[in-house]
Amino acid sequence: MNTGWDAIVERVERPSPRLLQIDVRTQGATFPPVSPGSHAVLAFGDASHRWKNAYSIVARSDDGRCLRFVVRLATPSRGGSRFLHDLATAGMSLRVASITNLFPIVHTARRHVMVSAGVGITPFLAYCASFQAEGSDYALHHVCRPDELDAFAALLPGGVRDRTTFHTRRDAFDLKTFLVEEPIAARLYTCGPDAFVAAVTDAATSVGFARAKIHVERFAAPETGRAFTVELARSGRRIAVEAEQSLLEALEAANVDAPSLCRGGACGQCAVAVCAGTPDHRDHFLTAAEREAGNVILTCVSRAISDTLVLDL
Amino acid sequence: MDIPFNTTTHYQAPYRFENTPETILRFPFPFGVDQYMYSMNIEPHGRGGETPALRHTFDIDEHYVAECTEKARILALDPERCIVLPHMRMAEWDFVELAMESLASDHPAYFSLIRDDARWHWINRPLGIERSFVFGDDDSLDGAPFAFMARQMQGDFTLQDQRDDDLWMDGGMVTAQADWSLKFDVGMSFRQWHAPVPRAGEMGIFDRALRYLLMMQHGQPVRRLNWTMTINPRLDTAPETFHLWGPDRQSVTVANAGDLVHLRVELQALFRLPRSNAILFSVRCYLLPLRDVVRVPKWGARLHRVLRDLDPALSAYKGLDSYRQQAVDYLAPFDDGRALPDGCAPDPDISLAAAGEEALR
Amino acid sequence: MRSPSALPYGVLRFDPTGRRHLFVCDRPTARVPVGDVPATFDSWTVTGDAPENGSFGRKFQSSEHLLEALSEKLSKARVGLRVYAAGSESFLVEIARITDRYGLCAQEAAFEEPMDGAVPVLCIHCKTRFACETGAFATCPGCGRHLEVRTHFSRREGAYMGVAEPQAAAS
Repeated sequence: MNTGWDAIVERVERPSPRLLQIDVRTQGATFPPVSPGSHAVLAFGDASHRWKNAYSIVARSDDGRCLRFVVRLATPSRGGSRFLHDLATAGMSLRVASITNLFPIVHTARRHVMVSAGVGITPFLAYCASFQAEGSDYALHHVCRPDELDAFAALLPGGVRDRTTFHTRRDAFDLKTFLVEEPIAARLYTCGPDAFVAAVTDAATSVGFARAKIHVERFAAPETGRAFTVELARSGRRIAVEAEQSLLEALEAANVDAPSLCRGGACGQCAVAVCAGTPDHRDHFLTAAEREAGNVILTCVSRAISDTLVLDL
Repeated sequence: MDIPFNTTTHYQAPYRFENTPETILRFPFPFGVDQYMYSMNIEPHGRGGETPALRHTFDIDEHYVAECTEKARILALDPERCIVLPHMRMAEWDFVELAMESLASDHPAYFSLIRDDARWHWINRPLGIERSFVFGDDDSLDGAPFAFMARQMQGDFTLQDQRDDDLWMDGGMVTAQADWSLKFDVGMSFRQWHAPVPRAGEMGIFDRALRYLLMMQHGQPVRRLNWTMTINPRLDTAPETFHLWGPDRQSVTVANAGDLVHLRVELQALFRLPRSNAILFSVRCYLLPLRDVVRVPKWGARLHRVLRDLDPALSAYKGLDSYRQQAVDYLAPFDDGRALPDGCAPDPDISLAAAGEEALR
Repeated sequence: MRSPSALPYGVLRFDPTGRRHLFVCDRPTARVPVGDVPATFDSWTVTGDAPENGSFGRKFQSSEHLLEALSEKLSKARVGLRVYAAGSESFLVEIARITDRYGLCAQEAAFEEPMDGAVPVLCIHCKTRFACETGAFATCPGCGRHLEVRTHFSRREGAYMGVAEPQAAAS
């Protein structure tokens, strides 16, 4: 059973004031080869606060000992990106807790069209490196602020700039004029904030893209919400879940052995049985029937409608 | 550990197949209780298991050379037993890496792998193969890296592409299958290729199994056991050659059941492949004639009960109907009705004399 | 109940998210899809030797001609196309092989329940493909074996599997 890799920050670069490129070197076993679209959960922090956040893997070094990430300073930030932006420096310890791919390339597609905004470009940096190496047909559309265009362009792997169109207005409307020309065999991938992804999906659907050919990676950080109490049925322990904290984070802070993997509500590994109370489902994994039944919850992103939730832990 | 490789084996008529006592005792007997029904019997595939066959990533036993020889014979006659669709190129190399590293690590007496950046050097002593190649360069392995390596391994292998929330069997080398055709099934989704299996669809097993497999992580392989029966020690029971092996099902009597009827167990292991995100499915086939099964008292008694009480739909699907009664009648004297311990392991402290000595009793 | 490996047959229904719609059928009597009819849709029909047979849209003398035209069209098609197919199972599986080859997904290519009983069969022994009119058993026109036609269907081959089984030889 893989329990992650102890690592240190090898190198930090700042392509723009709000973008941090961070290279992480393993202190133990090498990182396995990584399929494009994979993300890693990084565990880092200091004595006062620990974070576990998921970041797309931009690249892996040939010798397998380094992984590269790009982190955007998020606002509002739950603190993780602020911590890294302010304090990440060569030699800082952290842990790569896991590597998973929830956003893989569709290998049978004849053409790949990617549309991203802001730091949503990160999985596509890995995608495009692979497309270049394989000689695949692809196009990248990236939406960003005009003052960040050069920074994002500098992140593109070799040969990719020629196939990239930058859009400096957050306006999905002109996307339609590109999308309508796409061949029927094209697959569309999009990544970025929820509202952006929804706009891209709408634009694609309006020109006739089939729903199954639109592939979305949601960069979900668990949302804040109402504070509530979780009770562990097996021990009777009661734990307070703060407004700013996810249910999973509250359990971990209380040293409860709760399962997790992607920490973004997409993989189902953190599912726990609900004995009492009403879950507030915010995940992308459970079926409608499972949500309805209310007897399971994904702790990494979901919360409670009732004041108390009793879990089978 | 030195395995004398069995070289007298003949997997087609006239059949010849002998197991040493060690091979019998390491057999992955699949029944832990006295009755059988489908279940999602997936468990981690690591370095543990009730019988030695379960303890390596890819198991090698005394039949290694004979099975590879038989595989080559079948491929020469029917090259479409190996098909890999073009988009699975990356998965081919993932497979080569996993296979070479595991075999060299688990069986260093037989296999060696030397890596110098992308320049790899592979040695397979039992088959007398030595090859240098460039990892990732198809031409350096004759344009077919998957085939190069799958020929050197016991069992069948398929490559599943993960896309659209499903798994697609987009490649494989299949020469020891239990009545399914790779050239027919290649390109099918998980539900499509399982379509012929009765009962399990109703039980929702495939939906749950698919959801589980879609979330498999690299470095955490899993396995399960599947079973059926074969008349004669025949690995190739494909639909393509049904006319060669199908009629044998009519030839079983109680007198010859011990020699003709073989318990066929498939050790199915699944691995997430890192570069391609594909899933490798390995199916390692073990055959044990009933005459060898009953040399392990617990196994003989338990198999009698499982076959006697088997769901008729499962018996029909597994092709047992023509001879199940004969097999049950053969096994009955070996079942005294006693309570048997749960679990698949043989009787504790058992030791088997060599076959010749037994026959003298 | 159909095998899970068969094509996903169902009632054809116009997809309002499509931008261009093409209905293909192998006989003039096939019904167009139900639902709100799009402002424009193309219809291709195999009419054989009776081209004045009351159908509208483009007419083809044979299925082969229609299939060739469909390949040509899909090789250049843009996003937004929807294809709806009706006819015999042999016709439908050939349509599916073409739409699969050009990367159309389930929402983009839909298939009506087959309109007559002939099923396409692949002899697993000699790989001859032929149409079987009679149901569960057939004689392979390639190798002469008596085959049992299984319910297992391959979309890539566009056929059901025929296997020479002992009981087939007896029938």
